[in-house]
Amino acid sequence: MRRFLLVTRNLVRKPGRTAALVLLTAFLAMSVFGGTIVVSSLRKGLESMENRLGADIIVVPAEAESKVSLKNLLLQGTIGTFYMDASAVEKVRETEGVEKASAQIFLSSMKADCCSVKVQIIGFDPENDFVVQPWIAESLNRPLDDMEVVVGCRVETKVGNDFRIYDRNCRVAAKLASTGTGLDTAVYCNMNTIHVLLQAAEEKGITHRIDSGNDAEVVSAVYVKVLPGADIGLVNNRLNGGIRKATSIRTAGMMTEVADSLSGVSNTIAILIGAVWLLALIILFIAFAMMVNERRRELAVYRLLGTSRRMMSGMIMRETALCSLAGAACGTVLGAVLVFPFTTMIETSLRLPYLTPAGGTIALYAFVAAAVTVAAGCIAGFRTAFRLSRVDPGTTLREGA
Amino acid sequence: MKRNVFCGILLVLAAMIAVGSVSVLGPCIHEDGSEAICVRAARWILLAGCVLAVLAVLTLMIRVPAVRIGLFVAATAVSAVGIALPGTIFPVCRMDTMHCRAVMQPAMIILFAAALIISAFGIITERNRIRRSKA
Repeated sequence: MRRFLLVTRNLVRKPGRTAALVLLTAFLAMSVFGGTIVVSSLRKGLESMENRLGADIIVVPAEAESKVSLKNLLLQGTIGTFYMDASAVEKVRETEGVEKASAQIFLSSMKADCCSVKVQIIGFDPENDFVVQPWIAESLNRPLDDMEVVVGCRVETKVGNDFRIYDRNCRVAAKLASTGTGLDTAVYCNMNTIHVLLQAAEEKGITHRIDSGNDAEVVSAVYVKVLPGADIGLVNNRLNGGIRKATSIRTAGMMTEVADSLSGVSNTIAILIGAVWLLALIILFIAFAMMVNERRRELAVYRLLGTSRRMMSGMIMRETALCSLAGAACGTVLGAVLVFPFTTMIETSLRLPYLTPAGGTIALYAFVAAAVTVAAGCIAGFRTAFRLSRVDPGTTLREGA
Repeated sequence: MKRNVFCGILLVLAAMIAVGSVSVLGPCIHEDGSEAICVRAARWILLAGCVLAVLAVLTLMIRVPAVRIGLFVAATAVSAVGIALPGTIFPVCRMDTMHCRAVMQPAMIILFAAALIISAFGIITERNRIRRSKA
């Protein structure tokens, strides 16, 4: 402990120099920790999106792509309401190479009572669904009854509460786990419920009829799983050619698009972190080099008092390590304060799936960021410690006289 | 110079709170022109920011340590109330993707928390100054 007494006194007596070193290392730690959390959250978001999507192909009305980007619908929860004749579902099932096909109907609420924005209501067919139900099963271990809904984690309501949509009360049966995508802001129900809500919307003057104007049953999208070993591209082409007024989209293509965007953002963040590190390291080296000249006489006195070279370099290294440790701690806390409260803002700005890692992983990243920062500080201080420990006391003090 | 560092930082934070509450860190804006539920919180945040700014300016101008302590205590109280303004005292929109939930609330809590810490440091510094002058 006594070893650190002199070191701490040195640091306290020069508050400006100490603050500058702490600030620099804090900046290093903040950039590493914050950047790593953002990049890993984006990667986890993409992983979660891949797991959640579950389908190989999505068949939507031909007009859908002009109305809303399917990628935005999934990533940002953009409201998309488009319909096609329900007979498309059977046609999809009959297509060669299709293993499963599950229909969904989309409806946009006017203003849900949860908030002042519209929410996407998604009706799924429990008998054939393979997309939503595995996800719902994590939160609800029974089939969804009529007039019951399951809400995404970002819809502000509690399980057991009534959720009012188009003047119809639906009971919230479960709240889903976070996916980091637009699916977190959607409300899910079975086909009977969505038909009641479509009727209620009709009463409010919001039509869901298709262009042909008849009262045929409608669906918004058909999720397709192809047979194992089947060529997805070939099945996609068959679907595109076989179903009128509909277009089929390969989810792999959509995922590749998202993965490309994610890789672009990750690279940008990596370059920014690299630039910050380079700049901060250069400044650290300059700061330590200036310290050599400033402290030459002070350390010459230590040498005259009998301090060995080894003890002196140890003292300087301890000073550097203490400053770096304080800076790393401050920087990590600052990084956490700047990243975690603004998760939603980062997600909406980047327009990419974003899922914050678990507590253990965050703690590990914080530790690594702090360790890397302390190591960088010590490397920068090592040269200074070496040079200062070789100061010739006689010459130095005579020069100053 | 040194004794005014905390007042200066407090003034900058107060300005950020006040200007932010009517600009980038403001409440939600509805497309139909209706008033969002979070607007009332934003108005009180603006008021708290202005009060903090006045307290910071007074602390910069007044040299008497005891009065400065009183002003810092007031700033600490205003900051503590400010932390609770969005979401606790006044409601914000209920969906967490809304601007007030995603930006205004976390930013204001961080800024008021920083103001609270700075004010607390200000109190400690002034108390130490009084003790030193007595000794």
